Amino acid sequence: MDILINGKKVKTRKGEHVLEVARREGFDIPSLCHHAALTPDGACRLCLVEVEGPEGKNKVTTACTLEVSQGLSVRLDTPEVAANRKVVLEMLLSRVSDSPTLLKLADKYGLLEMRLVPQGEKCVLCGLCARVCTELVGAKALTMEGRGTETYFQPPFGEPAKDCVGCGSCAFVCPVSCIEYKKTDKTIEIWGRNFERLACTECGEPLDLTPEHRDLIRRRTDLLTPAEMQLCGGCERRTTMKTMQRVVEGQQTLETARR
Amino acid sequence: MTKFTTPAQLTDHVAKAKATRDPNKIRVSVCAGTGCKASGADALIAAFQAELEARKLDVEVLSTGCHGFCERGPLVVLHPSGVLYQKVKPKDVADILEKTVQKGELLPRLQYRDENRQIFEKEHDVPFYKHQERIVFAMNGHIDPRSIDDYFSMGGYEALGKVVGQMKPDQVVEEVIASGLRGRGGAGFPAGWKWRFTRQAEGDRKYLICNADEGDPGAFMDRSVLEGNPHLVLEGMIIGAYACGASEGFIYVRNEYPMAVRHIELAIAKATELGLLGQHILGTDFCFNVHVNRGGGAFVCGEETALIASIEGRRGSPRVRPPFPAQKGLWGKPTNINNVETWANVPTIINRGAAWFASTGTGDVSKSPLGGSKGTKIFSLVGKVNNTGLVEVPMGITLRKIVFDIGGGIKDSKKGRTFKAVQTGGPSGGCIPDAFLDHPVDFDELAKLGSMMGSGGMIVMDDRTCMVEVARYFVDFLKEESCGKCTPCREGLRAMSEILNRLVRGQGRHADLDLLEDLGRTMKTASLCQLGQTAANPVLSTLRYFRHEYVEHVDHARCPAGQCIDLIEYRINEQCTGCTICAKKCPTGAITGQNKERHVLDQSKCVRCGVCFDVCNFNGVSILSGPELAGKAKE
Repeated sequence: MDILINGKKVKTRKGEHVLEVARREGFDIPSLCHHAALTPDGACRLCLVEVEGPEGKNKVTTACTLEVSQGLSVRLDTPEVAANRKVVLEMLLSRVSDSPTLLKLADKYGLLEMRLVPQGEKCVLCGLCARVCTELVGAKALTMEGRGTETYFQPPFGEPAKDCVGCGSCAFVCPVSCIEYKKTDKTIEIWGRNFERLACTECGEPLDLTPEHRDLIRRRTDLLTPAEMQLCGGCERRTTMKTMQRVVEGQQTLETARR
Repeated sequence: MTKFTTPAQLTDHVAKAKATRDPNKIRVSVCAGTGCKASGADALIAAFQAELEARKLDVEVLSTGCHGFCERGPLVVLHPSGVLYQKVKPKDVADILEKTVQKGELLPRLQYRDENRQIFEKEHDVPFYKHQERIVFAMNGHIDPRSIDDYFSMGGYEALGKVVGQMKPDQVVEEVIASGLRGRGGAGFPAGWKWRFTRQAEGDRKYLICNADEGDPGAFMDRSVLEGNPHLVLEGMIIGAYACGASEGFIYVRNEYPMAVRHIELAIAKATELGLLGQHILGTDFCFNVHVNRGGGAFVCGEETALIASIEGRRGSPRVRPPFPAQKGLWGKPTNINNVETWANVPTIINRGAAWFASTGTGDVSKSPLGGSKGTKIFSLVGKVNNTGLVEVPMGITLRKIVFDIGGGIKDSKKGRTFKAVQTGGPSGGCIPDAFLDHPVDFDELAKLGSMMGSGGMIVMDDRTCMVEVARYFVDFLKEESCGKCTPCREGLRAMSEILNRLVRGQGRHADLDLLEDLGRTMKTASLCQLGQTAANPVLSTLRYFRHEYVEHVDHARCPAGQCIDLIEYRINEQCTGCTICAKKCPTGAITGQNKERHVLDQSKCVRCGVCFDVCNFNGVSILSGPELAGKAKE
């Protein structure tokens, strides 16, 4: 199915969203709450685009949640998009004023003057942390609490995260790096919890893996054995090589025997 | 009574029940809606029952749902004469039975009088009722909501018998589309279209939801319908389920509405017992079950996708549409969701036909239901009017008629209070000034004025209401009730709240007004759900129609309405006659003075509640604000 982005004909597949299509085609759309591996949520409202409607009735909406459809035509560069995006950015910057990510966006989109009172918050409430924890990791350790302006992403009731496995995915996806994630050779510290850090069973190198995370993966899939999980990158490659070598040798033996 | 096993059985039963209801039987209809209960309706009903027992009179006491005129409760209407008594106390019961019921004499002390002390004898002559047109509320004063027999006797479930016995689902959908019925929950989307989408959507299971999460401050029409006539809503839902092909229904009702919950649960149990709900309804293959789901009181859960998330057991956060609930709703299945009042209109549309329904209202819906607004709408009329309560009026009625004829005009107009604005559509509606009083009220016209129909809140404001303060109040409400997910709604409301709180303290800047408009525009355009998209309405509409009030706050730290407590002072002027009423009423003892001498107000003790101003009969209290305050202070 073809759609038009800024008048350019672009190939898409059913079920895709405009943001991923546009980025694949090299168009630039800002966003904080989008991650290719997660279901779109439409929380930050930065990826605004204008959809051309019948009789000039255009509509501004978010590209991340806009599914492609026959005859869809969107524009990324209209005055309406630019003006609203700027105000959304201004709102975000008033919340978190010192984030390099946001300051860079402000620069890029011409936000010169801040009219709102800075709030001194750290989190932009994009929700990626809770979504990655629920959708991909499967730990469901984080939740959105409170409502209105008193909204937080945190472990339930702000207590140390009972269901956290210390995988660090939340800190990894956070666009403004506001989740504290501390590592030593032996420990991983996050969300008020202290985890044991496992080491490679071959060479002893510390891994980004905790026993809780290993057990969670085991519960969710049997594609990896605990032994396979507890190897560092280098040792994993070496073991794989050895296994492959054995396979090749085995095949050769088989072929010889057959001959 | 046993289970109905064919539609014909039901139809016969209803016809018999209708025929046996004696229109000439004397009935004392006592309003036992929440408002009247709060003013003592329960004791009143008990008194009537005891007194009737003692006098051995053949009179039926009906404990009914809300009559609408809550301000004058407890209300008593004597049928068939239609005599209305208001503010009735148990001690009046003997008199009513002896004098009015037995001898036909009226009791002037219990009769309704308007502002000019004119007495109105009968309920339907009272201006508050006279200009109303009741479809949804038609039965409210005539039946006991706990009795399915009462409902039968007024023709209840006749529509269901007709639908299941004689109509195909598609015919039902077409009938609702032709009626022009639009969703009463706020957005005004054609109900029949939604039904059609759900019917046509693919899915092995389909759901139906009744949205009874009424959250607007001051709005209580859905509550009154559910409390006063639960079977009407239920019948509408069963018909809807038949039309949409749904097998399971949910009523999402606020837990703060205990009587509504009780009454609808009772109705469900009774309807199930009689085979009007459950497996093989009326002996056919049509099966439908209804569950009650109590809400925890979050305003945003009235938004359909948030409501669905809440039923599923998740946090009540809206999600992006499309997909619409009709495509992917509850647990990912096609779901049709309508508001209480929408459901309650359905049986009447089936009974009397789409053409009859479409004969009331505005526009032409023969081509599309969006061509007009049909039927009636219930508003909860509150604020600075003489008659407050629930009013059901035909679509297209003017605001003037609602405020001045039904509402009886502005309260204290004799003391010089005048109409300033009416706020429609709940917290995210807009304020409409007097220039538009003759404007018809319907979905599209209200939207043109920068407001909306919403669920039907209607707050009347007088010249003493500060529009900046009004905007501040609603923005602060919404700031706390936003779900907090999307940036424009959450941060926009926070920023607006900061600015408005600054303005009402006289610390605003000119740039603030442009900033408010900028924020509002982006909230409207870029927010995820309807809550955010409409949240700026109170600010944008007051800026549009009452900008001068904002400017006064900024330029002169002056509140022209004399309401913003940081900007005003009350003073006792030379008109004071020394009647002492203000000194008696002042809650902080700030006013002192001898009888028949001009009183003095101690500013250090004054909390600016305005009681002295309200009680003074001689214009002896003035409100100073802005520069005049500084001037007077020097005197």
